[in-house]
Amino acid sequence: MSFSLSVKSTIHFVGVLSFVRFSSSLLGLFTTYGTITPQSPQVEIGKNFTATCVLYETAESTADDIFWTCNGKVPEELYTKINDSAVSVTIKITPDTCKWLICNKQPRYVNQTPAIHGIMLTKGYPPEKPNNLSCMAVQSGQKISPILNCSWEPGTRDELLKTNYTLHTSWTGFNSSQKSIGYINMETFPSYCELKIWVEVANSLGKVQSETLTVGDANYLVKTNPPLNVHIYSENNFPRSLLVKWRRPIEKHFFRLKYNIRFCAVGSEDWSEVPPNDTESDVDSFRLQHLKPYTEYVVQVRCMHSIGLGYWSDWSANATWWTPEDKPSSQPDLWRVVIPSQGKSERRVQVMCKDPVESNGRIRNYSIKIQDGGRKTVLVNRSETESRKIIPLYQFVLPDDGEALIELDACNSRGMSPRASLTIPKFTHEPPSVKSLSWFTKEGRLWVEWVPHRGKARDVTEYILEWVSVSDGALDWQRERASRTGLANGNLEKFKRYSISVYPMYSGKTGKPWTEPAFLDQKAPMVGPVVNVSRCGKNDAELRWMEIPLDKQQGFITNYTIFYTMGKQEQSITVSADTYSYTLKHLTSGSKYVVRVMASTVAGDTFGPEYTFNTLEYAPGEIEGIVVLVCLAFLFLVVSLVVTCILKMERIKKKIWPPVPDPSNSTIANWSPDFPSKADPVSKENALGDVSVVEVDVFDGRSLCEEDKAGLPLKKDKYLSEEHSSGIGGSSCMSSPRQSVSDSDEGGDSGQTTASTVQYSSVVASSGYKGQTPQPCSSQAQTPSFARSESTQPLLESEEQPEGQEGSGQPHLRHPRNAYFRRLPGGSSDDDDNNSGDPGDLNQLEMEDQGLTLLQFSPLEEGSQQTTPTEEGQTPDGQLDPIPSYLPQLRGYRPQ
Amino acid sequence: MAEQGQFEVDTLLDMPAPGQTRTGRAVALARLLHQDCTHLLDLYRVRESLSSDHTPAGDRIVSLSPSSPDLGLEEQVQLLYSALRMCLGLLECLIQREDEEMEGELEGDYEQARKTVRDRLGHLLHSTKVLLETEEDVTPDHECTEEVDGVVGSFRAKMWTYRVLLELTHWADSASQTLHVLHREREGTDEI
Repeated sequence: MSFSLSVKSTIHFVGVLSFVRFSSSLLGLFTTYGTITPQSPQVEIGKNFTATCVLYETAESTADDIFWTCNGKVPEELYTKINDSAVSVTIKITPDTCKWLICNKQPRYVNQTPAIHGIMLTKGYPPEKPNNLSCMAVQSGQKISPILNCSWEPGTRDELLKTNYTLHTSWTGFNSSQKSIGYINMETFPSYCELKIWVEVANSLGKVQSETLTVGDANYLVKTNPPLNVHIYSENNFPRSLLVKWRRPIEKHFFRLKYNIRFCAVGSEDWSEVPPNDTESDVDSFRLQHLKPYTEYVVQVRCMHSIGLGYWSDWSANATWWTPEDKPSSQPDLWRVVIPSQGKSERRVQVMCKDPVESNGRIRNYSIKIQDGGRKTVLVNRSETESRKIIPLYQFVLPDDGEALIELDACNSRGMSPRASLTIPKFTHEPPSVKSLSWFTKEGRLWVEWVPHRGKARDVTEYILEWVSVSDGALDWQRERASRTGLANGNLEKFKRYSISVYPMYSGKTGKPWTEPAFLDQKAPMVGPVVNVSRCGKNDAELRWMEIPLDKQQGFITNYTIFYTMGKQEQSITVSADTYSYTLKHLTSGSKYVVRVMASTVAGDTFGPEYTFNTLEYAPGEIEGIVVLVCLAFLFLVVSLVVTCILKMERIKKKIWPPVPDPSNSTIANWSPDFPSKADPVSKENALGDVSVVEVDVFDGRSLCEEDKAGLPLKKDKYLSEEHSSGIGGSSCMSSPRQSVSDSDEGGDSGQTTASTVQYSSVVASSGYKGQTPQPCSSQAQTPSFARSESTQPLLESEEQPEGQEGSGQPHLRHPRNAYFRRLPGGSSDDDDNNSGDPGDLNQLEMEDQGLTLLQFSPLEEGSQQTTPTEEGQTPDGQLDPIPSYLPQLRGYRPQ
Repeated sequence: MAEQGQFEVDTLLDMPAPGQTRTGRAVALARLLHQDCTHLLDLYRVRESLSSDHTPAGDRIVSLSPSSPDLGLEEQVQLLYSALRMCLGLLECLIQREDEEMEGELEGDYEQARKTVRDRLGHLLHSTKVLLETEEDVTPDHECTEEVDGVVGSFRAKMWTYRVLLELTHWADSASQTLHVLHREREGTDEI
């Protein structure tokens, strides 16, 4: 099937949407089946709109197959069948009505497009009537501009449709208009002519025009320039008057003018306006009256058409001038500050004042009089801009029991002011203060309220409201007459602390003040409290902080909050504003704490710096207590030991010093050596050279050394064998005695019949070989001395000294002499020498170990003294005299 | 205070403002026209370096029948209206000729003043027509048929222009006087 363009079809390009039936081919040819009338309608919102769909023959359908869609199917009750091929539909247009109204037919095939034709509904409103048309022509040069500017209020509805605004006048001219403003150029402004103006608004749905603005004279619409050359003139004889002159801005031929004049003092924005009736006539000057003397005034003038239906011009530029001076017409504001003297019954009074409110000129000097004193003149030297400043006048000392009347006059170039007076009463006779005082802030201003003193309120003539800045001491005051409320008019600063005082004045006599601190506004303190720890214990710490300086508080401190942290655990405590120390309790001992204090006002908080401290490990006195307890325990133990020792003395003695058998009862006393006790002299002499039995004082090492020096070697193989092993002892006269004993015991013990057997014998080998020269004690002990005892008595502890000490050569304390040993007389005189660290000491001790009993039983006690080395005992060649102290014991050992 | 305010359109501005009547506005307009004509004449004298003492020779260009004391005030105003229409025609001719002569040149103060006088004269004709309550047209009543030497920029042409400007000044002054008489007659006061 081929498609061809129907001759009846209409191709719609803009604003018309044609729905066509496409073939499967891509040739782009299409067929229309009908059309809708009207095409591209602009429909009015709120009205009914009717469209008709007409089917072409190609549609192969009837009117019954037609249905309308408009964002959905349009109800069939809105259809009207015109004939078999045409159906109309009537819908009400609303802002929400669909954009496309489409005529459709029931499709005959599944793939058939149902749309026949569609139209786009352009919705809108008819134009609205503009309101409040106003026009104005301005002055241009010396004439009136021919351009008339107009404005109006257009309709409030959304226009939706393209709308044209046209400004019309009864005089021709070029015009240009927008939605709410327009202008028309009339070439020449039609002064004195009737003028009609209107605005016409039109769109596709209609046309409407505004109310006609008709003016009998177009000049009514003129706004002129402000008056020119405004000048002010003063006259000396009229201190309260200024003459204002100006020049009209436009020629008189155009129209007559009327004027407006306003003025104010420089610095004030409170304009005063001359009554309009006074300047209705077309004048060019005016005299301002009832002004303040010596005040700089600003004057402005404006003008408009005299009929007054036009527009005022702008205000002229400022014209300023001073009114002439006049004598002061009010009192100076006299006040004082009373400062009590420390320790004295007097007061220091500073008199001060402010210029009279109506100074009417520059105050050049003040004349002050104190009580009965002379009148003094205080010159005032300041710039003109410093009026109403506080002037310190005079200072004097007033006794507490004295009263002072102060009188003050202010003078300017024209005269003297009314006199001001102030009485400072006796200190003890000051009239009462107000009953109470309070303050509040409102709209950034400080208000003070007070309650007068009951019974004295009638006597009060006025109140002085005084405020002093705590930070810098700046003072100001004001007077409130017959009032209970005052607004502080000074330049009070926010966040500053002020002392507000109210003084009742009793006919010029000052009463007692009532003072309260106040803030115009508050915020968080400037700085936080600096905290430190004044005392730190084991579980508590006392914190201290200083009050924040008053000028940095910036508000009333409501409370302090202490934050203290150990590790990550923070705790806080809030204390009152008058608290400056606090003791933290229940702290953990030996812990690190970080503490800081926050100061709060009603407007905020400020933290102080952090402070770190450590709690103590022990409480004060705890260590001392422990020490005392330990000492007491030790003391008790010692006492117990001592007592025990005393009580068990005998037993201990026996333990330590077992009973020593009486040598006199020893069998050795009766011991018969193998040799005859009486030797021949020769052999005796020789024997003395070989073996000698010496009495060895355990504490007198020199005995043995002397013996050595005497060259009495003891020839004994056993000993010699011991000599080889004695090298461990270094320079000792003898090697280790214990070893020696042990060694000797090796053979000896095996031969003993019983362990208790004591062999109280001593063998001293002073010389290994006969004829060998004995070596001194301090040299290498080549000639060992050996004392042997068979006693099984345990060794004394003192004998357990290490070898190192033995050879150290240092003096050392000796053990107390055993009571069982008697000291040899010959050794007593050489004690000091014996304590000199002679290695022989050790030998002596060793000897003591082995030969104590031997010494004990020395039978030749008397003769032993001779063995003590003395100078007398020395041979002429320096050799010790080897005088034997004992009988020679040639065979000191039993064969074992 | 009426500063920068707008006034009620229908209630106030449709009515003659107190102290200002139609005749009064007409008088003021005639005076303003006279002011403008004088200013234009001054500008012309300056431009053409003419002395104020110099008076061009010849009769009046606009001449009406001699005024008769028998004529009523309304008739005098009617004659005035006619004279002003002729003056407007003359001015139109003058502008046409000068524009032809000064073609392409920028518009100066003189040309601007000339246009102002033309428009103002039309305004006065409208006002007078309203006073006369006549249906007579306010169009210029003059055909630019005068032969002024036929040479543009000639002395005679300038004198003709001078005479036209003098005529305008004369009739503007005459209008202010006549209308003032009418105003006084109608309003009973000299106050404009």
